[in-house]
Amino acid sequence: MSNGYNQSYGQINPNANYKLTRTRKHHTNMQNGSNPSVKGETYYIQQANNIMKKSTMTPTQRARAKVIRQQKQSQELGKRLAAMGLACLLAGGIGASAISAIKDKYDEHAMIYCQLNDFRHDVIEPNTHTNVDGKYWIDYDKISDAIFADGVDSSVELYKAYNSLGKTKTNNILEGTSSNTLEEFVEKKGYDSVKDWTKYCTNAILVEAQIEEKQAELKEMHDEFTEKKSGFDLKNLIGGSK
Amino acid sequence: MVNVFIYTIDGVDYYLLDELVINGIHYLYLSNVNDEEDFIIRKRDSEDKEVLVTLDNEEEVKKVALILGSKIIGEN
Repeated sequence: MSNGYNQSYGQINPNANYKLTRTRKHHTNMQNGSNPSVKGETYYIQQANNIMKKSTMTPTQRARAKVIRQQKQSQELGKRLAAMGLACLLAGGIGASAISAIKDKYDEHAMIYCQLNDFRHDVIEPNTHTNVDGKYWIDYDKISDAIFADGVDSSVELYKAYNSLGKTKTNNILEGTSSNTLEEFVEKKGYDSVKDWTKYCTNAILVEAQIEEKQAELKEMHDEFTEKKSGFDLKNLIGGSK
Repeated sequence: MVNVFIYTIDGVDYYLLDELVINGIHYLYLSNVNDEEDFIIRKRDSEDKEVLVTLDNEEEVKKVALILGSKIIGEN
């Protein structure tokens, strides 16, 4: 079966599983080189090839990594994750036509996933709760405390736990709180259903991400303005002293 | 703002975008800090977790690449 990946040459084949579903409009625009979605697919195909090459270097590379922790805009990481995820799907054998269909919603998926991943690292902390077998155990009390901390939207935080750990473990987190199960929590919070709650949470995460992005843009504009203003003041000061 | 780990491998800085444990092996999905078009996958050495190694072959890359992509799509 053709899956977009040509094993004999180690290259992603952009035409595999693709010609059958490509529309006339796409074809015409590709010839003109003006369709951004086609251009995008080519980009991801190239990235998929790069991942394949750089992840399997021969001879096998071993490197002791130096690790530091830094604060970063979640938007930038989300966008990178989106790009890597798409390229990974291609590298993994998903056809380019399927990629085209999911690409439009992918940034949103990646943004939400980025937040879930942060929750996993910062709240669940699997790396710091490991037993002798290398398997991690879950500190339910710690997670519960983080979810129900002051100033935190417990609905959204519980959603992150639910997505990371599943329903049974989410119920374990809720044990001992005013809601013993996920259904009770959802009902007490006034949502119609778990689906309704999920929809609220994903929207809330996206809105929060957009606000954060706008704040970063405003800060950048403010910094630029301050920089220009200080240059202008300095110029006036020098001019005035003459 | 969120916390992110930066791994320096052979003098190149990479953001850790995700880490998945697949069949007991820790796989790291990394993106070059200075080149947003440069992505790599590495795995932790089973005996020394601080040592990262390249994957064995293309089949291994395909398998773990697909799992990351599917996870992001499937979770929402």
